[in-house]
Amino acid sequence: MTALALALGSYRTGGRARALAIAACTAVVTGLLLVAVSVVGYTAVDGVEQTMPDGSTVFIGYGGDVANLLWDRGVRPGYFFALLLICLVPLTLLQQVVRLGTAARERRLAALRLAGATPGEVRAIGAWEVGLPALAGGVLGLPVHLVLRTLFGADATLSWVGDRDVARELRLVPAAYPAWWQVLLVVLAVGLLGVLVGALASRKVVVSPLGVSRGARRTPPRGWLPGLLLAAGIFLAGPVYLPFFERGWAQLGLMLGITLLVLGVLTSGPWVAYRAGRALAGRTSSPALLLASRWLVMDARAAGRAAAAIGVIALVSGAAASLMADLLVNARSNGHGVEAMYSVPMALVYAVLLVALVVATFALVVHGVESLTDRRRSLASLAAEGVPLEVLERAVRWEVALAAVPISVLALVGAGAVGAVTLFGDPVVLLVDLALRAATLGLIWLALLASTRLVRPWLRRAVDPTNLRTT
Amino acid sequence: MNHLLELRGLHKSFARTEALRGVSLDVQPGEVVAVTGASGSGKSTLLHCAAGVLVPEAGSVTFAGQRLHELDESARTRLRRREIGLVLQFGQLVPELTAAQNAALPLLLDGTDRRTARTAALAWLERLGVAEVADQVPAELSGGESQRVAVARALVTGPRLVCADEPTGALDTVAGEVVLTALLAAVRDAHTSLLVVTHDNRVAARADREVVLRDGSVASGQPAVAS
Repeated sequence: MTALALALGSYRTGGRARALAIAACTAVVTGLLLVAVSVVGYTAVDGVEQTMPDGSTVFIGYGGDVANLLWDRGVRPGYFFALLLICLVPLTLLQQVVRLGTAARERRLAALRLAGATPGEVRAIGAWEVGLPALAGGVLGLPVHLVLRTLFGADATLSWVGDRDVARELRLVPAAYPAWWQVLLVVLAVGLLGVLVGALASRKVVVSPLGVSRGARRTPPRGWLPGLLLAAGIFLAGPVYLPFFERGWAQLGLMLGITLLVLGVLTSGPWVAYRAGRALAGRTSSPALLLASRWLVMDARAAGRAAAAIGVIALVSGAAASLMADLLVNARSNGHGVEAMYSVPMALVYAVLLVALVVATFALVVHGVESLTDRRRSLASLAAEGVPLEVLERAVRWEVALAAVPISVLALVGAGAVGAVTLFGDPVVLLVDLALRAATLGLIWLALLASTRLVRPWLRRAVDPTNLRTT
Repeated sequence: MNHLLELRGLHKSFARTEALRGVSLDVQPGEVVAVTGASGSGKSTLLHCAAGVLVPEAGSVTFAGQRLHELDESARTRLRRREIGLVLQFGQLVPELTAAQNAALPLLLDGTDRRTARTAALAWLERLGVAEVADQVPAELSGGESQRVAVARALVTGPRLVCADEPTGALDTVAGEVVLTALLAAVRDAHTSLLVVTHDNRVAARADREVVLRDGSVASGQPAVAS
């Protein structure tokens, strides 16, 4: 109980913003998971097969009042899977906000150890500090689900299928609530996730009464695991399964492949950032680039993890560009426009990607703030020695750019490799495809610029001469 | 003679620096021992080994018959919480807790009920002359007040030994004198032993015995012991 009380006490001081951010992230995750659960529970038939007088069978479709993603039983599992993937966006931000106020929190935990708290009790406090707001976020996820249902609610009506239009394609969230036990399970699972994240956040940290020492990070991030995942992802998600898409096992394999691919990109972030830093550290003569690359060589994990979310956005955007190109090829060959049942989900994908990019930008900001706080003494010392603030600002920008741009380019190119074959016959479509990828890269660059601009006040604070006296 | 604390042949290194080179030291019940020496002579390392915060690479730390260096981290922490008070240079109070809550914390962690813990904490704050700041948080306290609250926290469980690392090092002369007087009065009243690391000659002058360290070894002040 003392651990719980001490965790609660942290919200009275600097931990409040962190707790609110954790609750906001987990509320969004819970809302999305409840939508996903209600999609699983959506069992309305999409039509019946009728035998005609001549003995042939025809398919009569129902449920035209809801989006195709819900109506079509064949794509429902894919829709469910996509909702789970979207949860990665707030979860990536969660991973970063858990780091908020690290320096103050570590001082506090050291003080608790000095007062007699055992290492286990300190870990329990850390777990509660994240677990409690995560649980609160889980409960707040219920109104988030309600809002999504109000905006995109869809009744399971059995009406004749009509023409598909944009309004219908936006009816994406089943109106029926998930069962109470499903809601309880989701809320508790999200709370438990918070406890796990809180406990894992300090697994490499040794808190003693004398202060905090982090686990040695001399070994660079490993490359073989992300490489393996990437290879497995490409193999599973590649053309092997696409011809058999209608079969259940093939869909499962495809989803597994995409999951591995996303995990591959997420876990590759620190490794790619480290390699980029190492490649430049010995070659550059620019002071800003030298600082940035050395920061990554020393510890690429935090920047790499924040940038990995951008890599996933690039991957999904690249895949979406391939799909858009494919739709355009078909539309141009049959002379019709792209149907709403395809164009609306594609527009939604891009809308989600834009939101994800904004969220990832904030994740980069959180990383920037924490890194500047950690390095304040060395930055103050550089400034005192006469290094201009502009150089330090460029170094901060280069650090995130070196971490985010290589993985984004790799993801954009990699995601386009499968679809590229279909593009060569149509130069217009190829141009659209390339324009979409270039636009993605441009937006990512803007996000990087925005993130470094937003951390500028913390950089100014970090170079304050009073930091020369802090530890 | 029954020693409360027996340090025998302690060796401790950090990277390539040998901080302690076979240090032996005894502390009797109720004795006040000051450890002095130049910066880098190993004073703080010796104190941290004595309190069970650090574990020596060689040698033994025996406290009240228990071989401290053989206990695991949690067991050492529990023992420290009950029997060894620890005061560091900057007090290191928990920022969101009031002075009374900070002082009561070791008792609360040990399972004492809140009311009893608060009463005990208030009694110590009163004794150390900081009762009026009991409900203020550390940010609202002066350096001397914070340090006296830290002393109250170290004494609240009725420990047999207090280990203090430069308890007046971060304070001005007047505040340092107040803290030192309060600390010495409290340990002498409670017949608690005090092992204090200091640069301050005034502290050493008021101790029962002064042990001088030089380059990780005892230079003077400790009777010869069989290691």
